[in-house]
Amino acid sequence: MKNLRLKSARAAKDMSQEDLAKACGVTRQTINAIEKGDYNPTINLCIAICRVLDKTLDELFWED
Amino acid sequence: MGAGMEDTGMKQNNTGRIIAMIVLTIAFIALVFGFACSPKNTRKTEVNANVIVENGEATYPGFRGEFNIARAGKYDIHVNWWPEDDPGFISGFVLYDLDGSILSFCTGQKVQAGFLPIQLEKAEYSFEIKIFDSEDKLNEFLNDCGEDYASDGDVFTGYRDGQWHVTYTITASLATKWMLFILAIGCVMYAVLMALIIFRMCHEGKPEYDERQKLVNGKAYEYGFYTMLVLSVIYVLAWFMGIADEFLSPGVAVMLITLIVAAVVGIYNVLNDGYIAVNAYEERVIATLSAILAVNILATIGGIRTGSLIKDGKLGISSVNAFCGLLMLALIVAIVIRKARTKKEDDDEELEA
Repeated sequence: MKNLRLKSARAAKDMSQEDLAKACGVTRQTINAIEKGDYNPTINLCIAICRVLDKTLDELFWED
Repeated sequence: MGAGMEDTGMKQNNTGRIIAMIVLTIAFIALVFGFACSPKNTRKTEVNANVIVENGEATYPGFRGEFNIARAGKYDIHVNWWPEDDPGFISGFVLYDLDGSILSFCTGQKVQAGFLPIQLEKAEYSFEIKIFDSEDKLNEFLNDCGEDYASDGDVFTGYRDGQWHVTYTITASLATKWMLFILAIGCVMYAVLMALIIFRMCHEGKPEYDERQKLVNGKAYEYGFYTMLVLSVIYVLAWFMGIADEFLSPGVAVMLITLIVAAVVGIYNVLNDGYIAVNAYEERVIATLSAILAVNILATIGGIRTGSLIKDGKLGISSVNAFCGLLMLALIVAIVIRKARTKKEDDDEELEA
């Protein structure tokens, strides 16, 4: 399932996938895969993404 | 270390890798030159003859011997007989092929000669030392060898009675000039490549893959493992049926299976973005692959030149270089395809934005 909230949060911070990837220490393709719903990140990566985007885990990754 | 890269608690020591690579490089170069300088590459035979010519007839019946060629290849044959006193007869040297036909020969009162490189197999080759105490006997021999000596006009006139001690030396050495040249280039390129890789490891650190890439790597190795199983079973079945031996030796088969498995692992990794580490530079990876491709192209050309690419309808050891080059090419093509796909994704993302 696509993670549109992650994409919106990233866009709100005016960050490209590449910028977010570098900030989290992963590849751009990993961020792309998470946004597309092709990959479920580990909790550590989820936390790292939340920290960079100033969001909580619920806001970005909890299923509605 | 980014959060996307998990600390498994099993940090790899880069120093150990570097030492291992240096040791491997030294061992490779030593092996290559050990092969080039191996005593197996040269065979030398000496025949000491006491030749007495009495009333125009030589008492020495000649000599027939063998030398064992331990390694197939092109050999330089050198023959030498140079007695102090000019003998009153002509000596002849004949090298026979495995079917008994004459491979090469030479005659002379005193001789220091080398033949053009001759392809010899791993076998015992016989040679003969002949003594000619008259022009008729020499002519007969030369006619048998297919030479029209009578029309040459260069007739030996020194036939006489006497006693002479002659040492005949026959040396067969693997024609290593081109081989050494190619091996030297190969060693230099290998050493340079290793130096570049070690330099990169020292300055960039060990390659680090994020969590998704590690999963992709694992999947790639899984596919590689199954590929190896299938290919091994196919080869063993073909070997039992006697088909495999017609096309390739076991050594070449093992290398080919390894390269195909490496291709499966590599291409899967590339296409799923698991090949290039987070801290790696893609351009350098492509440059390294291109350099290895170039080395293997040169080695393949060398193999074609020396006839070791395909020998008697079988894939020779140089075919491994050809397949290794194909592997590098396949990886480079896969990287290009992935780059094109990534660019398309970037364009789509811009459009959506």
